Amino acid sequence: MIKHYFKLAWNKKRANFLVMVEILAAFLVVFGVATLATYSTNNYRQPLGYEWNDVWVVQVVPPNTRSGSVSSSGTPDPKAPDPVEIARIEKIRQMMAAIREIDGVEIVSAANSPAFGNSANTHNHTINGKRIAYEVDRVTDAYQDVMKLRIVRGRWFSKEDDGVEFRPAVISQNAAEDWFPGEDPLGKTISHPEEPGPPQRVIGVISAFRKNGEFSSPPNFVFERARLDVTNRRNWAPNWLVLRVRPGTTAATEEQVIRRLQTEGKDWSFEIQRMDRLREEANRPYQILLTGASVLAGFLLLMVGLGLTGVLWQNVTQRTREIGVRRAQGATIRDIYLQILGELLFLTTFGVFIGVLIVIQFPILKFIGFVPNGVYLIGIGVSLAAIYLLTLLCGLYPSWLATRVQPAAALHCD
Amino acid sequence: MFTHYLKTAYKVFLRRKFFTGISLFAISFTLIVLMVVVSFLDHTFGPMAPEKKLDRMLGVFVMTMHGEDLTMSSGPGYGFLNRYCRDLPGVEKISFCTEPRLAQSYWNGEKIKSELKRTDGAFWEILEFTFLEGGPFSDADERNAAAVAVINEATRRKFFGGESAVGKTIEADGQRFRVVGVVANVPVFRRMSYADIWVPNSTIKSPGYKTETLGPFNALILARSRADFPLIKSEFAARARNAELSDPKQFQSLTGEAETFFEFMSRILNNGPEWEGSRPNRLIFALLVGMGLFMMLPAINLINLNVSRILERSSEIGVRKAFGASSWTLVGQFVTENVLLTLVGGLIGFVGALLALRGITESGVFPYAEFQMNYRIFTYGFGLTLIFGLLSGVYPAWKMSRLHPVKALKGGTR
Repeated sequence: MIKHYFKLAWNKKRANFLVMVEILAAFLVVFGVATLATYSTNNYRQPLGYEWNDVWVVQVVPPNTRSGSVSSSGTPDPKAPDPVEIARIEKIRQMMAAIREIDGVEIVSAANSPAFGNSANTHNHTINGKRIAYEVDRVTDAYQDVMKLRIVRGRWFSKEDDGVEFRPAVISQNAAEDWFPGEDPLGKTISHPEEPGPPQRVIGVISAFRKNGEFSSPPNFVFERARLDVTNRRNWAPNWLVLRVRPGTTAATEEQVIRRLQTEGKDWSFEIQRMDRLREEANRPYQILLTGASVLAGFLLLMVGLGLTGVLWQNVTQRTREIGVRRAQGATIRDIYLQILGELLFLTTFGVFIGVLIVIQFPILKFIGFVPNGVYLIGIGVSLAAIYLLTLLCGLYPSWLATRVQPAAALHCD
Repeated sequence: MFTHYLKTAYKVFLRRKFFTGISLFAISFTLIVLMVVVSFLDHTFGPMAPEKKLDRMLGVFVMTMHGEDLTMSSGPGYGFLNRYCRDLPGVEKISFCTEPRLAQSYWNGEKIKSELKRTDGAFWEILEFTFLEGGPFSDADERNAAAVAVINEATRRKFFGGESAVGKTIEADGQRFRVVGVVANVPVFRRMSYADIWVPNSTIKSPGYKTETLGPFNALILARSRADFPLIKSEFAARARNAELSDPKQFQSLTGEAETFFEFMSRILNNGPEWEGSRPNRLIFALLVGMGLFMMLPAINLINLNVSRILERSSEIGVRKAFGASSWTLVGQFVTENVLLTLVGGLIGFVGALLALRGITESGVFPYAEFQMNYRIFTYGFGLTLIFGLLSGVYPAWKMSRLHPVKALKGGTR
């Protein structure tokens, strides 16, 4: 029977070729959107690792710093402690003390690139052939309580770390699993052996830290300890203050915070933001992208569906005689349905087969490295189901029309 | 003859309304999407108030300092621009302005967020802002560090409701400015001019910016004529190469280009700011390919529909051929028919695009964007419609014209 469909389809290869190309193109579109959607939901469902409610961030811009699109590579000059930097650290300490007194502000911490802060410090090196790549932030001890980070192993930074000979680090669970699979990450060194200065060792593991929100891909994250009470050449001033405020604190307190900061640093600039707003802003592009892509794909599919229906309809009207002969020879309604739908499914299978051959290259060749293979597989599955459903729906009406062909009338037609 | 084609086409379209409907839906949907894209591009790159003299404008948006193990890209700094670019040859006017930066104000217990741009007197002469009241500040204001500001309509509403603002004082990021002028809102797409509040460069809180090689600045250059572009570009590049750097220990050389905004964007999208030499043709090519790919699925859909409808008209074709119509004549006729249908679809598409653009404008996703039709968008839209009509019409027409007259008259199926 399948051989028969193949023959029928092959006989009309030119016309069928274009239909197949259309199905292929539709498959590719659905695959793109389905993969994007799967990737996003997949990310969305993973834990964020912190709480953004009632957190405010203040960007503190010292005088004479460059702003705009600064991107740098390499390391800054690690010579003697910079007097300008020492003065800045001192100033930030005063600022933090000043806003701690404000009613409504509960905990104050400092960081270099806090959640949703649209700046990122990334780092990567290779130890014994193992690539260690991560996003890093340098924060003060209070940061854990401000962000409500959950420790799953070891501990967070504390006074205990003041005298140790290594640089303590707290890493995210996914980083621990990535770098030390099946091992205890505590006490392991993550800095490169040739890096100057004391080695960096893991003292704790947190559940997760997805800095850019629910839609972003989970990075391997490392926290370093920022100290504002010592000045050495490895120390530099944080750019952000991160505060936890009492629930229900209003813009009036925001103004107080800014006014206090402005009195402390006359030639500094400050931007205060609520983290819940920043989160909304960070999520909006993803939402726009997803909605836009779904709407476009939906319309494209509707169009393809209508077009296919038209083509099949025309096809059936042309084949009235053939169908009439089959009916006269005893083919049942079920046989006719099977024939029309069978041919269509054959074409669809051919189209999506080529489509799958194309898109399977993504997981195999790792075109987009950060997307896990499972996402692609789900994407392929969803788009296969969608395309078969679509072609089946398109075939229903035309094949029903075909079953209505009366053998006598069909054979009678000129 | 042509009117005859039109009449036939009209009759054919009416005969099978379902098919005509599908085709029109596909065509108009495709064109709506493409026209919205074209409109976005036009609002970003096309000449539009206040950037009306775009054809004579160059800018310096990004420069790179190179050191032994450190490169740094950012906007040019005021120090470099002021020292080396004031007297570039072929330049009618040159303005130095910062990129807009978030500035917060607390006004009667409410928080107002604005984008603040610092600039000079020449800025108001290069760009043609529409002043609703008052006027711009001058180079003298910039020299005297006068605390004056030009604000846009939206900012006037936020601070003063509907009332006149000139002479009143506003507060932004802890500084106070006297309003001297109010301008119409500038859409966020106009990167060179966009902001909510414009104040003199010299009101920057600390004077360090005056010596910076890199910084938050841009230069806007109004050339005497387009013919001076090569001269300005080569002279600028030479001066950058020979400039004395603010930090000669870390960085040895400076590179950068005076370029049009489109060239700058194509550089950024191609390879990031460090990439020397922009290739705007590549961006144009990428845009065209993208649009072509998007058009592909709808075009195949339409081709399929058209091809499957050939046989409906086989007797007509047979008769025409038997009476001596050449293949070319028939191709001409069918392509005309298809283009006609596409034009009708294009018309619906225009209306749809207008509605879609109004929806986007009203959604407020893009601050101050007001998408309106203009002759450029209309021309591109018309061009796209024609391309789409030809793309989807030529193959079916060619196929139709190849029908053998005898078979066609018999109502043949191949």
